[in-house]
Amino acid sequence: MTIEKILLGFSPKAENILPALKKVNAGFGYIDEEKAEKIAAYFSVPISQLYETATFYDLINTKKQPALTIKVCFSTHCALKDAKKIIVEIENVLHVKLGDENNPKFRLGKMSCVGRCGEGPVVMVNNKVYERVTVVMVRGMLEEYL
Amino acid sequence: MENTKILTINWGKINPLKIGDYLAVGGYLALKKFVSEMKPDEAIEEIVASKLSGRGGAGYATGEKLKMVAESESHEKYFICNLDESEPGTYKDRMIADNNPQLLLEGIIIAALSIGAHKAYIYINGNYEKQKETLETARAQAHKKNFLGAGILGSAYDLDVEIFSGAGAYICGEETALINSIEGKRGEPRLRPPFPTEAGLFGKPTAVNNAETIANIPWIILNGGKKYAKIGASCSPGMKLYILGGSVKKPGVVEAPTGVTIRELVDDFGGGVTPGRDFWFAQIGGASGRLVLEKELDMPLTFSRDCQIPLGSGSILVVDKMANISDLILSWTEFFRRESCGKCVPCREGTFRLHEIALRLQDGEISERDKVAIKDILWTLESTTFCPLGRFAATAMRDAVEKLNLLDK
Amino acid sequence: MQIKINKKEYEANENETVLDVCRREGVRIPTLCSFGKFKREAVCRLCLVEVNKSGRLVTSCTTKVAGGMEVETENENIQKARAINLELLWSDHAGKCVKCKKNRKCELQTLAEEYKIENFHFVPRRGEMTNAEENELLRDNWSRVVVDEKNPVVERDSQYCVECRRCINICPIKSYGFNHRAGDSVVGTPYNQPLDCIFCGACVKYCPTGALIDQGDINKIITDLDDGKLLSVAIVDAAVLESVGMELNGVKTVENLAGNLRSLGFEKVFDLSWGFQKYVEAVAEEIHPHHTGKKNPAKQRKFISSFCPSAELYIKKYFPELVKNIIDVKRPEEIMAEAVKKEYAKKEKINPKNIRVMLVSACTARKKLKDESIDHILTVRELGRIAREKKIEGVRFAGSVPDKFMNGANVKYAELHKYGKLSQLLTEKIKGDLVIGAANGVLEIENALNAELKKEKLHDFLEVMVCPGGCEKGGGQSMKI
Repeated sequence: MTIEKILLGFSPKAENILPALKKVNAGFGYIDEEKAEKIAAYFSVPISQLYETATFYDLINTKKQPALTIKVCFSTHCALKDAKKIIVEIENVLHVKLGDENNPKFRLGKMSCVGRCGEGPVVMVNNKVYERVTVVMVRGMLEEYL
Repeated sequence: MENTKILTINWGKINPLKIGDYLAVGGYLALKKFVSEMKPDEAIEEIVASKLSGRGGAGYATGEKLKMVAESESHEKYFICNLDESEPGTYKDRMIADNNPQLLLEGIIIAALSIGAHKAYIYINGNYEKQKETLETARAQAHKKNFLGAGILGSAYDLDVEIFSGAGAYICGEETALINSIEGKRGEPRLRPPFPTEAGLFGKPTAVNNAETIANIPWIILNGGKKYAKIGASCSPGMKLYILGGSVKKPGVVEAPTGVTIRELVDDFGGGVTPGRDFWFAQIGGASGRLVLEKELDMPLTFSRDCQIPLGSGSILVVDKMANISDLILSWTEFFRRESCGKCVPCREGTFRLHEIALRLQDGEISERDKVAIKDILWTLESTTFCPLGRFAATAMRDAVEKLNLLDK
Repeated sequence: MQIKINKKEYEANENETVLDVCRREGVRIPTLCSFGKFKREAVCRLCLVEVNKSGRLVTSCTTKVAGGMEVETENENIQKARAINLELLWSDHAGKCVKCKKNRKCELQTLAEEYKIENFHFVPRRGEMTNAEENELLRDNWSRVVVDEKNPVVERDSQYCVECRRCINICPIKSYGFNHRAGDSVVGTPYNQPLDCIFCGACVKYCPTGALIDQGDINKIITDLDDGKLLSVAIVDAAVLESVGMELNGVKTVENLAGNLRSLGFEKVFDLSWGFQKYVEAVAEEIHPHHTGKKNPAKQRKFISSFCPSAELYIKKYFPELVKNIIDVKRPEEIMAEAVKKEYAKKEKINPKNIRVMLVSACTARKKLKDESIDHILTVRELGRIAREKKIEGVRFAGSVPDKFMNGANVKYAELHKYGKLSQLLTEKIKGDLVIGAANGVLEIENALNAELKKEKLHDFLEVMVCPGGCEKGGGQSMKI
């Protein structure tokens, strides 16, 4: 699926800019400069506006993502359910530090509430959501990606 | 206590993916009544009479908002259902979409038609992918039954419903930021005036309402606003979804009237505090909510401005004495440090510095310098920010300072 | 209507904001993000006032006046708000002033001084942090800073940015955006590309801090000025007189300026009007009906003025098909610099290698299209920095006339930097039925060129200038703090 094909699936109206950004992001993992220029041209907006919009939202990437991105919810309910311990366990298993943006293989970060507070702690691995995660489960959860 | 179930009445009893199930239990009778027996302003009068207040947390009078848009002379108007629901501890709107999406759709259609809109948007949290699909199925089924689209139920009404997925930003729950988001821009709040009811989406009169608020509308149309106004607290009546979480025996979503006390919710609905744990405090309304001590548990929860403990989103988080308060503080500050839109100085810089202080707090004591900094940051967040998110960012910390004596350590 | 500000009555007009009235009446309100009539963002939260004893603070820049309104611009809450918000901004800037190139000309610094911001309790001092924390803090802060030293005109360093959004709003081609979110926000270009715009300089002009400054080697310039073996020649564009008094205190005339330039180390000071005259004469030749013969089809017609370098950059970027229609005449400063290094050098028997030609100009775009005969281009702001560096404080020099260049220039060419002057002079010079027009600002230029392309309006000569009103409002001019 080329970016041109994706864009042609949307009429060039302002309300389609965010959906188009999300679809291109989903298709390619991130939106690079070349694609951003094409999207901006398609919707007749300045590239500076498109970039400032794309960088605003958590679910849109403007940089290439590592193979494995893990986000641990640290909002109130999950934080009280020892999300911190899960973060430490992931750091140990993958040998990566929380927030390190230079590791080419892994990125570990915190995320905001995704509305599954009854089933926390919640961890997202490459956009797949895991619920009721415990420290013991971490290694097994990550193994299928390694 | 009032036991009428308005929102949860059919949860678990109907298949959310089958419109026929909803129709069999009286679904879409409200829309049929609206189309065949009521004028748009009559419907709005019922909502005004019901004193229904916004269930996103702001508590604004829904009827008044709809009236303002209805009275505008513009031919182009919009109705937006706010399902962005990003407040930590809150998933009631998600549950509505999961369990009875058609109830929400029916409410949207009635509200949109009553203000004269031909297009409605459902702005749904970008992480709610499954719920988006459910709503799309519901929409298609409703369309087939002529409940939306052109010539609704044989009338001259027409309505398109667009489902717009967010992209991950808490601030987009604020109505002007939400509107900017639909317009393909950064989700930054706008200057007011003008208000969305005058100039909102694409500069046109727009009504933005929370999903739970809208889900009350079919009942109000069928039973009348006056009857609704008799439920719960008189200042802000109705049934409300509360989300019990933390150290309660039975966490989950419950439906109870407004005016219920926190103690009633925790004990009667939630089964009490988790056995073996001692109650320390509860946070009401999510990460931006106030803290409530044991002695305050008999306060009724309402949307009234006089109510000292505002309901907010309805999230009730019970925190016990074994909780790590510095983790919770880190959670609060880190959340707002990430979710601030960044445009105004006090919020962008204040949430950033408050989070740094919370990181230092993880290691031990707060320095004297940090104590002064906390007080100043909270003050400026409460008094000088561009939008209410600044105040939200300060609420819990302010209560932690004043009720939990955080700075006396 | 009447309103009260600090208990005093003032006249106010409908649709004015409280800030507009206060500025007009001299009531002091600090601001950082608002400037002039540009879009009011209300993001700095410094201009707060209290209205009708409401107990709430509101931004005066966006609050419209109403009859009978009572405004307080000073009270305990207002002063507290200003102090805290300034201090929050200042926490990222404290200690950086001495090395910053905007030192003494920075609006944030001036506000901090005015409101006595002396406490820095939002950032822990060294000694209070453990080493690990300090590294984390520094790494975190630096990871977001955007630096652009790769373009010849605007040096960008976002560590000095206060996110006022002036540059975003004033750029005529939308080069900048407000990128990322929350404390990670950075004002910058898409994908952090080096700036590749039309270099009109408006962003540098309006930037309140050292985030956007002139790109240039001040040290090299000072070295050349101090070098006794070199003949430093200043070519002065009279447009700079508009604002040079803000950098060299009290300088208003070309004589004062010439005197100051000499004390800085310039051995010769020439007025650009010689170049202006040569330019107009050359352009008149090019567009004269006898020269061009019958009107050529649009493809070969050279009708667009080459005077404004920013306009040339704009055409190259947005109307590349019209680049060939730009008149083939070098710009006045290029003509003159070349003359200095050739005819003048020959006449005075000086080796051109020992001459340094420096243009003192209100224009920033000239740096992007710099001719090799010009050694340095100084904006008014850079002139100020050099003067402060050399501690020349704007001493007056009466009767210090610029040097005469070659045969001098006719005074009627002296004001070519004003928008409209070029087309006026050409209309006077060339008798005949020529369509001579002018477009000021990117929007007008865009419309005029589109009209050309659609053959709706064809010109024999089109004066194009990017800066509003011409070089007097040029991007290289200084601004009042």
